[in-house]
Amino acid sequence: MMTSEPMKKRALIVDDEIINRIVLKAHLEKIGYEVVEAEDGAQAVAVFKTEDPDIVFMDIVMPGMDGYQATREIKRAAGDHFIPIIILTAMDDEGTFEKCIDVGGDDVLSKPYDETVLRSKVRALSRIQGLYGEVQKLYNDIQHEEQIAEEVFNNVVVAHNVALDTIQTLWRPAGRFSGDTLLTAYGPGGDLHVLLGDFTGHGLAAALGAIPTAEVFRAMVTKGFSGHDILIQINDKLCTVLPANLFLAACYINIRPSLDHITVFNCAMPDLLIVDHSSRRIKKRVSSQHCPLGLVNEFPGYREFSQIDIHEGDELICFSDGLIESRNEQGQEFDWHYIDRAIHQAAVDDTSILNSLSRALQAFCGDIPQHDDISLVTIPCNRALLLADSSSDRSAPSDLSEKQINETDQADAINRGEEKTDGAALNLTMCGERLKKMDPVPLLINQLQEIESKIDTQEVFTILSELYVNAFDHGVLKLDSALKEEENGFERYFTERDRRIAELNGGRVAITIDVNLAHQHSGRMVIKVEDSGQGFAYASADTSMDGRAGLSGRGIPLLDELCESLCYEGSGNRVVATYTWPR
Amino acid sequence: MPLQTQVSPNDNTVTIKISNQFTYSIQKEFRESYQSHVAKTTKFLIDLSGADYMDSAALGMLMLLKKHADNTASKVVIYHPSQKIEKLLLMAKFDKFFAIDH
Repeated sequence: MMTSEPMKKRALIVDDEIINRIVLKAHLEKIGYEVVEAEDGAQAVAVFKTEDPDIVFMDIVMPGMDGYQATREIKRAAGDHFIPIIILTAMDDEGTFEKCIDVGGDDVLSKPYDETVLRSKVRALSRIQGLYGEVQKLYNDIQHEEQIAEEVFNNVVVAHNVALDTIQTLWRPAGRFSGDTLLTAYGPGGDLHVLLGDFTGHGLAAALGAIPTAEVFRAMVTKGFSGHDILIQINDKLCTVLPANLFLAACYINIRPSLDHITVFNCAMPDLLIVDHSSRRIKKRVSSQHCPLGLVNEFPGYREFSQIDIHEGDELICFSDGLIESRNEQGQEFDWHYIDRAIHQAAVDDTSILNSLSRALQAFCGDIPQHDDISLVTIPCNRALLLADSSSDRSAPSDLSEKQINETDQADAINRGEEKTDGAALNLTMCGERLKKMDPVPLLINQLQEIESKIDTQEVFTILSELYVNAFDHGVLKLDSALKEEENGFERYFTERDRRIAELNGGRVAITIDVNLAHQHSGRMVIKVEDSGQGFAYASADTSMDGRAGLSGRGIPLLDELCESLCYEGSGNRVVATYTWPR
Repeated sequence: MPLQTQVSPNDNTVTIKISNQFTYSIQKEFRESYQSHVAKTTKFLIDLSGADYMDSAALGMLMLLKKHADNTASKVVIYHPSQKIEKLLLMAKFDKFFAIDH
């Protein structure tokens, strides 16, 4: 809001001699000032607080509080506001001049003074005051905008993260905003997806890119997409929305609920470290495999992702380059040597790796201000990391008798309905390149959610994933899941899988899902998956209960538990699963 | 001067020599050093022999230069990076986009 007439500026004159005040007052009124007066230091401080002057003229020698002390106190009272103080003195030695400036005076005027000099000094200080006010206003505006940005940023990027009780973080932004971003979310199968990213530069500009990244990440993880698909989308998105000089170094990690296997892809981040659960030594490093995201449109195939076998209790260590580039007083960097030593020291001191690294960093850098965002994440691969109700827990037998009764009730209810009067059917058949590249599960989940919002996405995801992997990996690719049980079995399994996919010629998987929603209180879907493989001896396996252990790779016990019924047909290359749920 | 530009018309090369720190603090000078050179098939030689540090913002600055160079069918060569700087370039896989001359 602006008033049409500018407010009259106010000057405070502090002098014990009335004649001095009268003369100065006359000069100041001539150049448009309104004048308030004080006769000594203490009165000056009091008048300053009540009258709010724009400029102060201060005599030095006064009874009681002198001009030096009054200047100090007025400057303190002014706080962030710039209120110039001109000190008037009859002494013209350098010592006095220096002291005037030391106590907080902005200029000195020697008595007797010339009117022109006085006017010029007032104008000069008034100009500086104007600039100061402008800077202050800009600063306040920025603060206000950053506050809003921070709120949006927290809502979109930070608030939805999961497993933060278990994942430990050291988060030291160089400013209010960090260009480093941590995103965590559970997939519908209960697997944990983690993305630690570092945008070029730091501050608000860098943090801006985190918003589209987080949105793509969360939407796709929830729908069950693979890390590969998610990174392709984030990369595309960032290529579109970010300027050429802004991009994202990122390390992506997917941890299976079985805690025996992770998938990692490192785009221009420092090595991801895997620390062994028992020896507590670094047992594997995953170096940068690709350029940062948002730089080029092409993205490598999923085969480039590292498939790594882990043991429960292993720990994953991931950090931004701000950590290894932290400097000490001598300008040396906190390089790998220090990091390795701190990890080793954690075992010796019996403390967490994060603690140990944090201590080592503090000891190294002391109070040297950091020039880049630092973020460090340690992920212990243990049960606490998982969703309370993840699929690995489900293999424990639940109260079967109750479950069976329920199922019978529901089945009967549905059977009584007989004719399907409400429902939908999906049909998806894949062959050729689509069969090699496509993951049909997120697609189907998405459609099923459209058809019926009340299904338990997590359960259906697990069923479809198991059935599809059985059909594709074991049926079409003829992979033996016993391979996974060996030492480093997952790595070998996936290497072999990649090889067979590359060589695959022909093959087909067909999925149909028939959803029946005719009944008010329960829904039912019949899922049929058929592959072009040779099938397996399901009949003999089924008759012996022990035989099920041998089929664990096909996830049959899990499927059995989730589904109302599960039966194999044909040569074992066709499976029909019936799943019901309460509505 | 943190940055010096030398143009040699004979072989159509623009040499941009960066000393000490290659960071965001010189982004304006860096951009100005190549922007006016729009002749086709120029060779931009980024001389890092005197630079001992480079941050991720400098990677971004290099990408802007590459974009400029691509528009004029020109080439960017990174000349004599220190071991440390080269490590950063390799971590970001910048060897895919730039020729690195040791």
